[in-house]
Amino acid sequence: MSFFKSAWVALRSVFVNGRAEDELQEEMAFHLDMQTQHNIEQGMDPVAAKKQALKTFGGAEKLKEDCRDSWGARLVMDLLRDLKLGFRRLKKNPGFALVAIISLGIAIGANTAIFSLLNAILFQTLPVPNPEQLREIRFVGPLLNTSQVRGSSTTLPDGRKDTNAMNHSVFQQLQKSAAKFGNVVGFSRIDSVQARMRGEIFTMGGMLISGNFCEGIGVGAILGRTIRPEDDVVGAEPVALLSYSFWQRQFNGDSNILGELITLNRTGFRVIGVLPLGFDGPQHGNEEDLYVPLSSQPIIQPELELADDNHWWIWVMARLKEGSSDVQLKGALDYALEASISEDRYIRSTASKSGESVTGGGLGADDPKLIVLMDETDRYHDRLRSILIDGSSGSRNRGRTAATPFLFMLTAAGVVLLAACANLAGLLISRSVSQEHETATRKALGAGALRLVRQGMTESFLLAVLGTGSGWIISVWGRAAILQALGSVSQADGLSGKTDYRVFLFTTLLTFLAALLFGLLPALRSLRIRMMDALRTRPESRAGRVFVALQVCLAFLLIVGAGLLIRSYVNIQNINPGFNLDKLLVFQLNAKNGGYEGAQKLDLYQRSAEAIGAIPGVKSVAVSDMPLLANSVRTVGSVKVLDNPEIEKGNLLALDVTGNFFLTLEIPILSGRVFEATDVPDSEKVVIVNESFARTFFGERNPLGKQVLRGAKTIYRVVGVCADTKYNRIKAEAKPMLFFPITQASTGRFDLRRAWIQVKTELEPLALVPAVRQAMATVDPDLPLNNVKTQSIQMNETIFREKFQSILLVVFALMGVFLSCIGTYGLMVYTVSRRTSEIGIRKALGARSGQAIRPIFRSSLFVAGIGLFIGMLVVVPLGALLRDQLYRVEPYDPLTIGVSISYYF
Amino acid sequence: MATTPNDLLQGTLGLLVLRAIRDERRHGWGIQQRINQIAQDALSVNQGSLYPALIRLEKQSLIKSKWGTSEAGRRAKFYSLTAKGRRQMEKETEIWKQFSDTIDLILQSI
Repeated sequence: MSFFKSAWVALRSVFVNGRAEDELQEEMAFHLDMQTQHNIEQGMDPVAAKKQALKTFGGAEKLKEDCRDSWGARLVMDLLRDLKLGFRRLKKNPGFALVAIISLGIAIGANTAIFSLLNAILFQTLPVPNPEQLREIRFVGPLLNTSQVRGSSTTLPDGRKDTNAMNHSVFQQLQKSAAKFGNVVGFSRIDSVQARMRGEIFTMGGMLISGNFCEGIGVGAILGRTIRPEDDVVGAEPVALLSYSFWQRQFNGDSNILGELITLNRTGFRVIGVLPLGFDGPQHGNEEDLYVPLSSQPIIQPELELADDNHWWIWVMARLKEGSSDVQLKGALDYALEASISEDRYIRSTASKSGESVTGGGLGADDPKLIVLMDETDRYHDRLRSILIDGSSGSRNRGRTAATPFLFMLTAAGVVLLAACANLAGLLISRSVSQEHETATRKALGAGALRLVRQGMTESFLLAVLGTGSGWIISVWGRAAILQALGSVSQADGLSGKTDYRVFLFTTLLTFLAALLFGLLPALRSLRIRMMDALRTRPESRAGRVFVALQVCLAFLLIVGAGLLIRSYVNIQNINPGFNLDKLLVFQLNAKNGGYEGAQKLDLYQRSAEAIGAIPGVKSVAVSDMPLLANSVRTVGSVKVLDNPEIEKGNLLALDVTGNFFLTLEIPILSGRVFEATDVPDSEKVVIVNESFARTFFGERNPLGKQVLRGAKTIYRVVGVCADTKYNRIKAEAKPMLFFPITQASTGRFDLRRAWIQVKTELEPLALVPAVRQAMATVDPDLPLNNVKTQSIQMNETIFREKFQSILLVVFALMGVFLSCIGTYGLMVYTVSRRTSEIGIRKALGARSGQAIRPIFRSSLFVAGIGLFIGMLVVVPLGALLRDQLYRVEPYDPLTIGVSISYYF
Repeated sequence: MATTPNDLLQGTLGLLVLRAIRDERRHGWGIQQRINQIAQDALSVNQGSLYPALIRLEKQSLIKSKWGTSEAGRRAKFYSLTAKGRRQMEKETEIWKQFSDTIDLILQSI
């Protein structure tokens, strides 16, 4: 009989128990009567007949039991009974139950929260139907003669380029050619565009998408309609889609938004729809606020032309049609590539004539996402070919958020879980020992081994389930807290981390593992109890001591880890960045988005600086084209010193600044001067270098007055030397840097489109923000101020990860200590009660209270000592693992260990 | 080895029950009577084994039960063979026959 049928019968017999029992009763009664009748017919008198019948009947209860057994109800009923018993026991010891549930809850909750975030990073696919049909398309081939490429591209060892960007006309050819096998869609990122809607100004990020994007990817609108192919035609009315989160954030989900105009770069776009919650664009993990058709690109990015053949900016994905294969799609794409890119677009070099075949660029041959490799005919590699990559998680262009910090946190959380389990195991063991009498009695009454173990395990499972329940609640809160804490840092862009079945599965698994871990041992112990032993007092259980030692060890590990991280963090905090972070307000202006061209941009920045400088409470104002300590880098190409040309270095850090920069940031000028009003575009080009630069290029000589060659032909004269400062990351060493006057910066299309204003204030910087806004309004009321914050906050964001990790680990360590304290306390209490008679004897023999306790105390200490010892052994290899996370702290730092030990006592 | 009547019955009770209701449906008492009657006291089934066996057989879908009225006019639970049960009965009977034939053969030769 099938499993389900018997399960069903068993379950039914439990619940319909009443009726089935009654029926059985009736059947028995009938049988009994018939037997009696039979006996009477045989000649017995009625009374004797009945008696005899009953005798042959056997024990009625036993019969019923056997019948119930056949039903299979026994197991279910036993489980129910065990559960009730478990509940009763827990209610009797509420303290124990509470501690167990809370510690389990925290441990499981932490693990689940972190895992669900990890899950979001590693596994989630785009929230569209059939994501496995999606393909990301890249292009590999010889160098193309293009000037503008927006996208990611790498150069393969044999000189070919792997790129993901296409130009508009070729893209349209791809769409047409591949139409039979797949829906080819295109998109491109808009980094920032200034938008105005309902009177407010804000900066938005978003996507340009092809007309068939929504249909191809498989996303529909929850309000209004999506963008369609007829919207993606030059000359059509500009339309826009908003993302769900943006719509909620900015307009509170107002459905009247349909049909309203949103002004982008001074052109109105009609809002025609809102996309669903959970869809954040084809690049999973980036939150795009806005979607507009490809054809509106000239409005958004006026410096580039839509149909310019030199402009390669469209990234391509495709949805494979039912019944078509990747090979067919690739064939169609390659055909279109060949037909639409003429020979003279390629830059030929002798290197590309070799006959070796190289596998798809950028990705290793064994990259599981690679679907179609270059086939045999690609051996010529004399033209562009397409590569298909699995696109179920969207386009990987931006690269994945690093999973490492989360894995690390998960490990720490795992350790805490282990500690919690060890704790519980120890507590349960001590309790089971005190219940020896009860267990011995049960055994005497005939309880089988399986029954006893099952009963013990049921209780553990009960605890585990309750613990998980509280853990689940904690994890929801915990995940929100983690996301919140990470929120402002780009690493956590759009990690929605929705809970899905994988997380639930994980949690359930964890629960059962925990239950097994801490339930099994005590349950097994109950088997070994013999009646005689139960009546004597016995020395403390070895298992209990082992668990305490284990906890001590784990707690120690956590403490050491936390201590190291804290020290590392403190060290980082104390690094001198080379300039004064205090009382600095910084924000960004985007001149390009504001519609300024050429020299107007610089003019804007200068006027802004003047206006702000006039505010009372402002000490000085500076402008630079990059902010410091914000993970942003700008480099210049090769640099040589004219009178010592052998030293040539490339990729040096550079900054365009106003003269006030050094004063505002309080960077000491070691020699020479700062930029002055005399440094204008037409006068001699000047540069200020930092110490490292001077040392590298000039050695002991005085750099002042010397000439420096940048690139092929631009010559600068060194007019000043400043102290070293950190550039983009606080942890990095100071490197050679060049400072150019902003007034002499080139004013081409891409130069100076953004700039950062640094304001040194006398008092609290944030207090001056309204005044600054007012001042800016006199300069240009339509220009938004972006990323307004203080420099210290800016810097903190870059070291956020370290800070967060150390905080988390401290929390974990505290939990670990808490748990092991409970464990030790429990062990001591239990031991004392066990050895009461021993203590009594000692006292009777004349020992004072302290002395009597001492041997017990000593043994506990011994146990703790063992734990510490093992812990120290384990710390050594683990420390090696952590090494790269630390900053100038030796993993085997004796100070940390010393502190940890003293903490323990 | 001396075997009590009950030992012999162990493995075959199910088969006996199936055969007992081969031709007509019977209630528990009726089944017991039939078996005891045919076996003529070489075997005796008692309620302690009969009823659990009935429940087992019903769980395996070899027999089905229905409440009805006995000859005396009382309410009783009647058991009858299912198609599956009939097939099972025939199969097991065949197996037993072969088994006993083999034993006979051995006992004759040794």
